[in-house]
Amino acid sequence: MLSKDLVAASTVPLVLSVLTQGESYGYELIQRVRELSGNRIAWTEGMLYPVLHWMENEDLVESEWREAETGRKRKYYRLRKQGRKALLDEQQQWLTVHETLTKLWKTQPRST
Amino acid sequence: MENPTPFDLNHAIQQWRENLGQSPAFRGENLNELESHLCDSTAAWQTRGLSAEEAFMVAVNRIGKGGALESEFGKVNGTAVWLDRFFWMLIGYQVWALISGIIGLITRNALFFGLNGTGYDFKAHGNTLTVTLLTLAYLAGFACNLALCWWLFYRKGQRFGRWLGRLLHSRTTWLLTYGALYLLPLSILLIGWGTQALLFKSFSREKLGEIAFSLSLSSVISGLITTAVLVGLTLFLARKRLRVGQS
Repeated sequence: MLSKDLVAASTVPLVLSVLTQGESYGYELIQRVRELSGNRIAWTEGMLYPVLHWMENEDLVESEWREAETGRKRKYYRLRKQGRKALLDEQQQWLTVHETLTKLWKTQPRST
Repeated sequence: MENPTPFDLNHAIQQWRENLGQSPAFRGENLNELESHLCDSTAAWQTRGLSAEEAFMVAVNRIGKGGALESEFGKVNGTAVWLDRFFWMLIGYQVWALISGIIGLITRNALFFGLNGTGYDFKAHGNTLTVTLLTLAYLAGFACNLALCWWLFYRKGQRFGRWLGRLLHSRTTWLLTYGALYLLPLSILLIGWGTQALLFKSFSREKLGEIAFSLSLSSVISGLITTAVLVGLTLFLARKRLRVGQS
């Protein structure tokens, strides 16, 4: 399981990345991330929505209420240009951390 | 409802939504979205073999506790939260002013007309009695006000809010409430002015001087005490409510 801080930090890049595969809605986004992470990233589901709304305010995503196949209405989110830019930025940063940690863990013997 | 009724999923969802809706942190659209999520989640758990009730419980649990959601949504809907606070402040101010107006009016007039009726000699006895009695009455009014506001907003806040919401929903009751809220303080003001005129007519100049002095001294003394209590209470609540490190 991820720590609370890491969950908070990774939500935006995760959402942006899932949305590059096409529009989606809250419940589906959560299921997708849960699936991809092998159940290791499990958000408190309701907490995703304030993040989505913040992303909408920042013009990273746009949304639209539409009727779903169930007959109920759902709010679908789509990536915007700004969002794609933000994702590239996030990618750079996460890869930098990832590469650095990988190098450190591979080359340095564990101190006991 | 004499028999235990079977679980009604739609009713449960509506109830859950209404509970969340009590908080200003959620806008109508937020509630729509959360409800849509809850429906999706409940349906998914039902297809995995859970009963409607079990599926609903699991979905509610997964979506998160009301308090935690409220604080997260509150960060996004900051303006609405502050508008709501301002609204309660306005109500609190009016309730407070109304009650202290009524209590002040009654005690002042009861005291002076009462003492005058018993043939009390204002000049010979000095101001100690009148100042003490007035100060005590003001402090009692203050305590009543605090107790009432605490009861109204802290104990009955949700029910009061719901009642007020229903009352203001129709245009007729809205207008009636507006009239009542406008006329009540106005009538107290008018009664106060009337009794003041009566006071001027029925008391001699010397007595009026004593009365004015007692009134101002007692309001200074009670003002010192009530301000100390109010500032203390405000800072106490602020320290409890405003947690450090929350934006």
